[in-house]
Formats: sequence, structure tokens, C-alpha cells
Amino acid sequence: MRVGIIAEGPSDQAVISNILCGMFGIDSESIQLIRPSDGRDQTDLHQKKADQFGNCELVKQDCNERTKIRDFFESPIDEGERLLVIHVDTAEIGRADAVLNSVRPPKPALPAPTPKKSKKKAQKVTLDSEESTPAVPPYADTLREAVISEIDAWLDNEYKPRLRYAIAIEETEAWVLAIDVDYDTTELRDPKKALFDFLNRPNGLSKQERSRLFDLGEYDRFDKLSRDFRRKKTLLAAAANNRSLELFVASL
Amino acid sequence: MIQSVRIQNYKSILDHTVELGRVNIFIGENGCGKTNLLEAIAMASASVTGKLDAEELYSKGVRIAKPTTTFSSFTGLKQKKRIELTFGWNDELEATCTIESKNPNDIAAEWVDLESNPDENITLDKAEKLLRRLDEFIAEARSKLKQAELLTDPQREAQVLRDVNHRIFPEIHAIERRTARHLLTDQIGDFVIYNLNALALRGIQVTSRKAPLGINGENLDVLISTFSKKEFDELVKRSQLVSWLDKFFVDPQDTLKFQGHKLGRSISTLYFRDRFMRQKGNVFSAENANEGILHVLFYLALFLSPRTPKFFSIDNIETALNPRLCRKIVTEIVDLAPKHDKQVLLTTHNPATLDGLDLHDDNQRLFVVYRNDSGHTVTKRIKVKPDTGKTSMPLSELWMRGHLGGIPKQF
Repeated sequence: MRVGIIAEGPSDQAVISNILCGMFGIDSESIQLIRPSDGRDQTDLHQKKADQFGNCELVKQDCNERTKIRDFFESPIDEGERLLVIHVDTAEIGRADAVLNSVRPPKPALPAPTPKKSKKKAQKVTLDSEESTPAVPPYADTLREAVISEIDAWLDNEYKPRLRYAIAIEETEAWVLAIDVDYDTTELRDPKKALFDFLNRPNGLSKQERSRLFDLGEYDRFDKLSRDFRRKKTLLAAAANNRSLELFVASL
Repeated sequence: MIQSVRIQNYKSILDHTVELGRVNIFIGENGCGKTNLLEAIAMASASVTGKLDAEELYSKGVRIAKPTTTFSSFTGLKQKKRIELTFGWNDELEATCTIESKNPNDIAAEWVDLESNPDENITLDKAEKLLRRLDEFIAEARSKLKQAELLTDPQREAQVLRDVNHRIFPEIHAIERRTARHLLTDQIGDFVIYNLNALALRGIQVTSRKAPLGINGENLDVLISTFSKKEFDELVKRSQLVSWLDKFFVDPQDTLKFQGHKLGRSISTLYFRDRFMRQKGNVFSAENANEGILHVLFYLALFLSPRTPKFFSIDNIETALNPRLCRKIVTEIVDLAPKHDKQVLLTTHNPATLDGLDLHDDNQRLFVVYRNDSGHTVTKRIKVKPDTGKTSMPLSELWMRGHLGGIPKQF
């Protein structure tokens, strides 16, 4: 089996790789990082602004162009079944905002960054809107479907049976956080900040551990933070804390 | 030809089997364990020849380490103090080297192979004695079986059969094992890891005393001087890969040295003539030759000579070679290996090297070496789909783009 990943950034690739290892029981060597890991050399990169790389626009570009996807699926190397994971953070999918905004409910309040105390399934975070309308259609489900439709449109529905969609609401940091906390991280306003705060919480990591962690490159840092996803049991427990992760895991 | 190697408990290789072809290329990240794989075979080679001392291991290209570092060491696993190396060849033969250190904490301690007892090395005389004993066993077994037929007690019959089985088969296995070990010496006894450096090729530095070729490139001139006319002609023909080369030759008396063609630091008597230089000043020594031609000549001579090992490895074959030359030298090796009955393991970091392989040919194999998620070195053979004539991208490009694996992921 060979699984390709087209993701927005190296941190997303690391997190998704660990999820795939946990779910499929494969070694990370069976995973091919297609984006970002582009074939440009430093001379090409000189011509581009750094912020043009490793974001949602480039995921879209790869889907539109399809060259890398075709190369992956039509590779002459014999490795059995091939699947491609396309990742998008809903916080980044600016191009689809018009679609997304129509289904996006109000965002919840940010809970305090507390570590997990029990292994019980997390309680869903109370949304601002939930008091008056308790039967809101599942926010993450609707948003995920909208983003998948958008990605399918980018690809003209090509390769659909062999695609898996890693749609993180809002960012994959919310998935990482779901490993260690006992609240629902699905609709966090700013998962990046929440994760940062969690890592810097009092009585958490030592100064030395924090410094070692933040000295790592983006890929290595998130690989370390999400290593526990390689254990299926932990992965499934974390998925109970984040609906978009749960939906992704269920799709695998 | 060696078909399989199972390596257990050697450095980063906990337990892994590689199925080999005639020309095998190993690629992978730095530190993934490519050289460990070669070293394990070199250690087995030293073992079957009964020379498991540090000097012999070093001369075969093994990086000597403290035994406790040589045994696999992984978090959460109890370290075993024994290396096992099992080889399979000729479709049916198999032999194992079981190696222990006399003092695991001493880097200089002697290694011993538990499978090898010099007194029990097979000789024709001993083999005949064993066969006679075997005949006696078989006769005894027949007699017991005959008695068993007369027995009506099934339990007694089963006991007789077990008894025969226990007595005969260990003896047969012992003979097989000893014979296989003896034959393994022919297969891997002279295995070495070549890892060339310019100073050795130029004859300035002599580190390896291995004959006929040193593992770092020593003695190239000496080997060439032993070539028959046919061998030399083929070497000349195949060495036309370097555009400036007009001619190379060995000056056995090194008279050119006294004519001022080299300073005298080099002991190599190999000389070259450049086709573009003026005729009266176009000869220069190995000391002054570019590295590329020395590497090319070394590899060609290694494969052409009947005096060099039949089974060996070359670590970092791309060193000093232009990418196109890397590809070409691999095609030459692929052509030469079966003709001269050589089997080779190559490692490389240069993608262009891969383009010299035809993966539709089972004799030519490409392996990605990597550390699995537990950190153990394993390999994965790269196969192309049988129904594709292989398409748009060369293997070099497939490697660079991540289709083969064996590249770092973190940057």
C-alpha cells in the first residue's frame, strides 16, 4: 500500500502521516509526501514569495493541474493499492469562503487549556448559539462536506474513489490538541493559539522540554506532538474529542 | 550466487532478510543502515574464513565498534549478545554464522563463530566417515522399522519411529550444515566493501593491504599489470567513457618517474595520455590524473579480473563521478557482472546511478533501505509494475520526487 499526502504544510503532513500509520498499521515509509515537497530548486524558489508555498492555494493548484496526482496514481512502481489524502484547513480555504460562510455557525468560546484528566469521551463544547437552537445541524459535518465538494470541483471529480479528505476545522492543531485535553476541540476559535497555550501551560512541559520542542523544525515538532496517533486506541480516543478528526478517521 | 541474506542483531539491523539479484543497488537516507548491511556480510565473510580478528574485519571494510554497540540496541528491547547471519544460495543451500564476542565490553576482544569448529571442517575423509556412519544408521533404522512392522502395539511402533527419527536426522542435518558452511566459504570468503578515496587511487596513501585490490583503491596499477592482452583490451575498450583519455598504461619500472613525471610521493605506476595535449607533454601520472578516470578504471578492472572477489560491495559508487558517468558505469557493471561471474552490492546517494538499471530484469535489483518506525533497518525492493514499459519519469526523477522513498521527510 502507498498513501500520498497533499497538505498545506509540513506540520499537517506530520500529523496526517501519524494518523495513517495508526489507522492502517503501515510504516511511515509507505507514505509519500507530495505537497509540500515540491520539485522546485532554490533558484526557482528565489522567484517566488515564501508565503506562496505550503498553503491552501497551492493545494488547489495541485488539484487543478493534476500533474503530481497523476504521477502518483500512475507511478510505474508496484506497491499495491494507492490512496491519496488531500488536506485542507477550513481556516485557510479562502477561495471557498463564500460556500463555507453559508454553513458556518457561530464559533464557540475558547475553553481554558487544561490537560486531560480522564479517558472518558469528551463533552462537546457549548456553542454560543446552542442555548437557543440546540438542534443545529452538525457544524463539522456540514463544513467538511462543503469543502469536499469544493475539492472535488477542483479535480472535476476525478480520482474520487481513491481520495481521502483530511478536512481540519479550523486547523490540524485542533486534532493534535485533542490527544491531550478532555474537551471538544472541534470548534476552537484559534487552535494554533490553544495548542501553544497548552504547551506553555504552567506545570506542563519544563523549560528545557519546551525549548527542545520549539527548536525542532515544523515537521519534526508536529511529528513528535502527534506521535500518539500511531496507536489506534489513542487515535480513536482523540477522535472522540474532535468531530472533524473523527470524520476523517472514519473515512479511512 | 548468493540469493538471500538474513541478518539478525547486527547494529541497526534487528532481523531482516534481503533477497539478492546479481547487481543490487541500495539507496536510502544517510544513517539508514546501508553500510551496516554490507558490514554484516563482511563479518560473515571473515567468520567463514576463520579470521574474525579486528585486523581482518578492518581490512574488509568493517567499521570496528565495541561489541555492545555492534549488537542491535533499541529502546525497550533486551540486547542479545549474538549475531546471526544466514545465507541462501543455489536455490537449496543455506548456512549460518553465529557470532559472539569473547568480551562484549572490549572493543579489541576476539569474536568467535559458534558454528565454526576448525576440527570439524569438512574434508573428504571426514565426509566419507560420516557417510559410513549414516549408512549404519540407515541399516539400523531399517531393521527397527522391520521389527516395528511386526509389532502390534501402535505406541511401541511410534516410539521406534521417533527413536529412528531422533538419531538419524540430527546426523544428516549436521552433515548438511558442515557441508553448507564449507561451501559458503567459496561463496562469500573474499567479500569486501570497496570504498574508494583519491589518495589511495593515486598511490599516495596505502591504508588497505588487501590483494589484489585494496579496499580504498590501492594497487590498481598492480592489478592492471597482471591483465592478459584480452583483458587489457577489454579494459581499454570499456574505459572510453572519459572524453579526454587517449591512453593509459602501467610503467612497471616507473622510469617515467625519473623523467620527472611525478614527485615521487605516489607509488602508483599508472600513467595517462591526454588526447588534447601537445604530443611531447601529454603524459601524466595517476598522482595528477582526475579522480573520475581512476574510479572508472578501478571499477572496470574489478569486474574484469578473475583475481578479484566474485561477491563484493562498493560503498558510494557515485563518488567523484559525473551523473551521466554514474549511469554509464552502472550499465557497464550490469553488462560485465554476469560475463565475469560477479555479484555486487552497490550503495549510492546519486539518483543518476539508478538510471543504469533495468528493473524488468530480475538480476538487477533496487532496494530502498530505511529505518522503520521502530528504528530498525529494513529494505524494500523496488519493483515496477509488469504491465508498464515504465513511463515518463526516469528512476532518478522518481527517487527525487519521493516515489521510491529513501529520502528525508523532515525538510
